[in-house]
Amino acid sequence: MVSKIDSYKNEMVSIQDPFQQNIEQDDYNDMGDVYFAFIDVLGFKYAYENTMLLTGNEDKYEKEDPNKKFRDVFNYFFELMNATEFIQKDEETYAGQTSDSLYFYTKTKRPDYLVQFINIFILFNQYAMSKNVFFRGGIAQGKLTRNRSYQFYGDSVIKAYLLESVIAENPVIYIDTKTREGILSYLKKEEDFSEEASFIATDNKRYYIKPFYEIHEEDIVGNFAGNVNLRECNLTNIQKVLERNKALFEYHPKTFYKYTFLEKELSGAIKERRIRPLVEDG
Amino acid sequence: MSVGASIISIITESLYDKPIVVFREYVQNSVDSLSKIEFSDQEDAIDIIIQSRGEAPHTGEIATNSFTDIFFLDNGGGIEKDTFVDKMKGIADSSKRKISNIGYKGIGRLSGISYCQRLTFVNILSYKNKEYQIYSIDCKAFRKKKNTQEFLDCDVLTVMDKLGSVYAKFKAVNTFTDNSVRELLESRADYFKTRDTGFLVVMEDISQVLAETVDASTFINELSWLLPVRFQEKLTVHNKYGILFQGLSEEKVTDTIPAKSYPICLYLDGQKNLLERPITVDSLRDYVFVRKFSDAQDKVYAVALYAVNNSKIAINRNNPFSGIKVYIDNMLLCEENELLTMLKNLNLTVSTQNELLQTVQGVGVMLYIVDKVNLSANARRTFIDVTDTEAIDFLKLVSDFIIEFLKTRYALSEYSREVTKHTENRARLEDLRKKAIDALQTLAKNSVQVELALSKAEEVKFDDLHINDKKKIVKKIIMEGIGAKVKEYLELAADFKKDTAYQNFVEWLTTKG
Repeated sequence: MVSKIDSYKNEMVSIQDPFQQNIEQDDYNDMGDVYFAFIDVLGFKYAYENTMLLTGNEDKYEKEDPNKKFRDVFNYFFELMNATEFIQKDEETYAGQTSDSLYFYTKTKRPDYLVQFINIFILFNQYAMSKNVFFRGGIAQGKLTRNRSYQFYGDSVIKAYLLESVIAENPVIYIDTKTREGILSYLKKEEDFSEEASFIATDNKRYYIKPFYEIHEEDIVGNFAGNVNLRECNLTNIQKVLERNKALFEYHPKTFYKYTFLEKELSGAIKERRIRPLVEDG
Repeated sequence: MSVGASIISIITESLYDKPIVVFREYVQNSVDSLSKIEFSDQEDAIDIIIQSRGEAPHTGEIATNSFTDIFFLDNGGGIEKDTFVDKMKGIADSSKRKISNIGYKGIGRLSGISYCQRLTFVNILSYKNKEYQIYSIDCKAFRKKKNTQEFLDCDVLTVMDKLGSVYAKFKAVNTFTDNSVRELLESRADYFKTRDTGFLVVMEDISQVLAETVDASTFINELSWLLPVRFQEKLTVHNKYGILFQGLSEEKVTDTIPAKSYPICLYLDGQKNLLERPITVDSLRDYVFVRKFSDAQDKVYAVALYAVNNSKIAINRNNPFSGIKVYIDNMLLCEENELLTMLKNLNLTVSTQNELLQTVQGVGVMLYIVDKVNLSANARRTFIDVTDTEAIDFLKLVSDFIIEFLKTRYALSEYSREVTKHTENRARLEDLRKKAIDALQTLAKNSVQVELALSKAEEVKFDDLHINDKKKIVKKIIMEGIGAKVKEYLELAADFKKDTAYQNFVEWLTTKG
């Protein structure tokens, strides 16, 4: 076991180029092809309108503070992103947030950054689910034009948005065909690669990222330039949250099926031995 | 060996010229005692209690001046009953070995003699059964008689017999001890719930000099840098740096924990202060780095934690975490003034003292010495004893480390000057920016090692050298080889005997080394 002092990594140093800053302020520039991820919080508006959460006792309801849980989850997202090498080193890779939407983009010449982002997002998403925050999103390949890193437009943004808001049925991240091809061509370089064993799933209509894919800490620690505390995610908690939400939304026409979908994903992951069986706490 | 009262004077007066070191000595004894305890569910406690009173302790009259007393209490293992008196009366027969460099030769115990009227040691054998051993020194009487013939002709044991007395009950010492110690112990029953032993030092009626130190506005801050206190909790749970601060306090780098800390509480006239290192999250600057300093065989001499900005290295008077602080066993050994003076005296620096001081005060460095076998502190524990090549090798690494800060300071300030000129010369600006980044990257190295014995140039020319020069180089190689073997022997050997030390080493070398 590595000691904590040995596992601490001295940060990569940088000094911003003042000329690069000036260029950013000048005009929009064409970035060419990027992978763009548009990820939305499920039921954000609902969370503020109706914050009752069913507890173990069916007659008792407990108020949940939406500000607190979203702050916690969004903070964690940026702790992870800001610690990565691809955000620290690469000026053409960006992660951001506006209200209930998270963004990420990187040039198509860096499929490794996209794969790293997806791996980290899977881990982050599991933590978010344990806190009763669910995401739905889309990743698409297309053009991007940008001025500063957070000022952008392009068909990649439109496609990712459509995947998330119009096409997506379930609370997972859908990927378009070109994104899938880009990921596969990168991952195929690894020995013993198979798509079935990867984080890409299909419902025979669309491709999406498996929400309960097992991510080992040692596989992603290398992606971080800085130090970050990976927060523990309790899968038993996720199961409990899903059960509670199913009960809460039993008579809601669409929302109910979102949670049953995730339950099926979770039990499928256990069955395929992709994750350890759930153990009751204490 | 006999030593006289004059030696005691030397020990108590000239070795401890800064009053605040009294706190280090008695807390060190508490730390020694607590570190001997292996498994216990009782939480460690080290209390420093400073209280004032208005009554003269000996005459019973109400005095116009107030008196201040200091108590040092811990709930460690105390001293074994049978050895208590011998330990209190002896100096050179201390059980503390040099290899641990803790409370070296037991001198620390006497440091309070110059600073109070009476110095009392209470060995708590059983808190529940109220079983104590007491040894008390009349410091006022010693100061009056130390230069008389009566004492100058005596050895230390005789002097101690005359001045220090052993008691079984507090009231036999005096009324003050009886009342104050009883009250203090009764109010701290929690400390002795599952552990029944401890130790108490009482400095009755402290001197004006020590009282002024205690009254100073910087007192708590100074103590917090001096003693082995904990880091603030916000640092240990910090999302970026938490792992580093935890690692320094908990993990073993070699066989020592660089920043092993204790819950030390200061009670100042009734007000409780849990002492913590005066390092805040805001004082950390842009980067926090860690670095190990090792010898040629990768044995770690020291670990440094250092904080630096990426825009400039400049003094900020409001930042409490500034300068270099060198620690052994998490006790402050020396600061940048003493360290730079030492480096200069050893000809390890070429820059001016002022230039280096201005540089190191623009960053914050905690340098923890972990190799106490080869790098030892002197009896006063204010600087490193330079007795052999390891100490010099280590100080060379420290000197190079400080020079890296100097280079970074100039690289950053040159770049910053160019940026503020709004220069159109992009090539020059980019060149300066790269130099500044290079300097910062050098600073970000997480380990450095002593260089190997011979340079390539020396190897090539060896055969052409004069016989005397060849002997010098061969001697250097042999000495380094032997040095490594000695270190290995010291780590592996289970038993050490002074009289046959050399023979035992040679035997080990020929059979196993």
